[in-house]
Amino acid sequence: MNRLQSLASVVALSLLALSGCAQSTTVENGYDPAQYLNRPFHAFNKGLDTAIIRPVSKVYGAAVPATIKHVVDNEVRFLSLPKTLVNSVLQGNVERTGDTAARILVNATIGGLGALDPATEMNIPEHDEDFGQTLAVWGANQGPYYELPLLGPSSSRDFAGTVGDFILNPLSYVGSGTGSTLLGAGRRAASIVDTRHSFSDAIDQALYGSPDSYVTVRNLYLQRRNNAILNGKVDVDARPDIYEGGEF
Amino acid sequence: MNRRSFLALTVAGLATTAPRIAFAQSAEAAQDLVRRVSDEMLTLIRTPSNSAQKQAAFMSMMDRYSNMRQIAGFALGRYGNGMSEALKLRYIEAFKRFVAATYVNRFSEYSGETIDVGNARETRNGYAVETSVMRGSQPPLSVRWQISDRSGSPQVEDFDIEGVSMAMSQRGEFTSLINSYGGDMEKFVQYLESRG
Repeated sequence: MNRLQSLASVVALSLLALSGCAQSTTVENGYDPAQYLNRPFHAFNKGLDTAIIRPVSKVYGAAVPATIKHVVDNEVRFLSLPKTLVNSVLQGNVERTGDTAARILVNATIGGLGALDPATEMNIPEHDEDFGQTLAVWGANQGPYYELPLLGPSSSRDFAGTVGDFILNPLSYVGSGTGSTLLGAGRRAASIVDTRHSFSDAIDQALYGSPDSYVTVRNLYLQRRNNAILNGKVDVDARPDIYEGGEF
Repeated sequence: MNRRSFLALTVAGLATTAPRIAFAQSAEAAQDLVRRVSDEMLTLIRTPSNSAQKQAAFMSMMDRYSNMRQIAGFALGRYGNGMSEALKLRYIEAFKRFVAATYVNRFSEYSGETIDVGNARETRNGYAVETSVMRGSQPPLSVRWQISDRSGSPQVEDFDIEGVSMAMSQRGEFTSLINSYGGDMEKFVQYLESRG
């Protein structure tokens, strides 16, 4: 795919998401018309976690030395910065663009291409922006909730975002051929294991300790996405009031 | 300046500062409450005791700092309407046991944390108090508390961990579950009782 085609795809995806259908129901349960499809996919993803991802992350947590885990975590976070930079620019967020550029500069040089994280010690804030959040900032509706096999929880807006990020991320164009594909796959695998390890208790609780893990995952995902879009500045007066239905 | 204009100025001065003093005191009261709850929570987590004892201590804490009846009711969404008082009481008890068990389980791996209490922002019903849970080498966890004194004294109405509201999470889970029981509240309460 050449650059012009890529750009055209991003524009098309953006228009698709922007014209997405209106949202209904509660923030935490979202609009979920495809539940009959999502639930089997959730069962598949959960099975994958039980059989492979969870055991691998347990071994990773127990057998790999702390220093190496630290470096892997630094690299995973470092390699997500180009995506954050591009999307901070697209959202017109000057502060986050500056923070992220500074973070890339510092960790790429004295951080040894992201192996170390001196930027944190220098109090340069770390942000996480993606094209799904950018589409939301541009006014796209969330649209239906989806749980996709292998990719996990998403929405029509976030799925457009995932595709858009792949096209926009400069790292997608580094190198070519088998080496580049393997590098991409390695980055993805490291990211999954690192994340599963870092949030093991919260993920275990959601998948294996809740009454209905499908609903819990959807709930956590939608609230976390909403928080990410608003950059943590949730409008406290827009949240539901525990007295809204009168005295219980 | 003559005496009358001095008096007028003083009164005007008082009138403009008085609400601000009241504001500051409530914000401080909200932060104080959060500090007390956080300290008690950390003590509870660190005290060596079995999970049944921890669960009981957690339930007593929730009752002292929150209107648990109202929070339990909120978690049912529209399904809470029309329940009998007897069923409500059974539900509220089961709700408290369930929530306490969940948190005791969730916080079991915590121990060396400290909590920094930050700003209090005024909201529609009270204050939102920001806190950071410091966890050694890991990045701090952001917890935002919703405090209101609508009941007469400052109470915890909800808290968000990294943007996830506990009350909304509970409501999302319960309403889906009740829906899957075809709205049968007796069945739902029985399920919750079996979990606590």
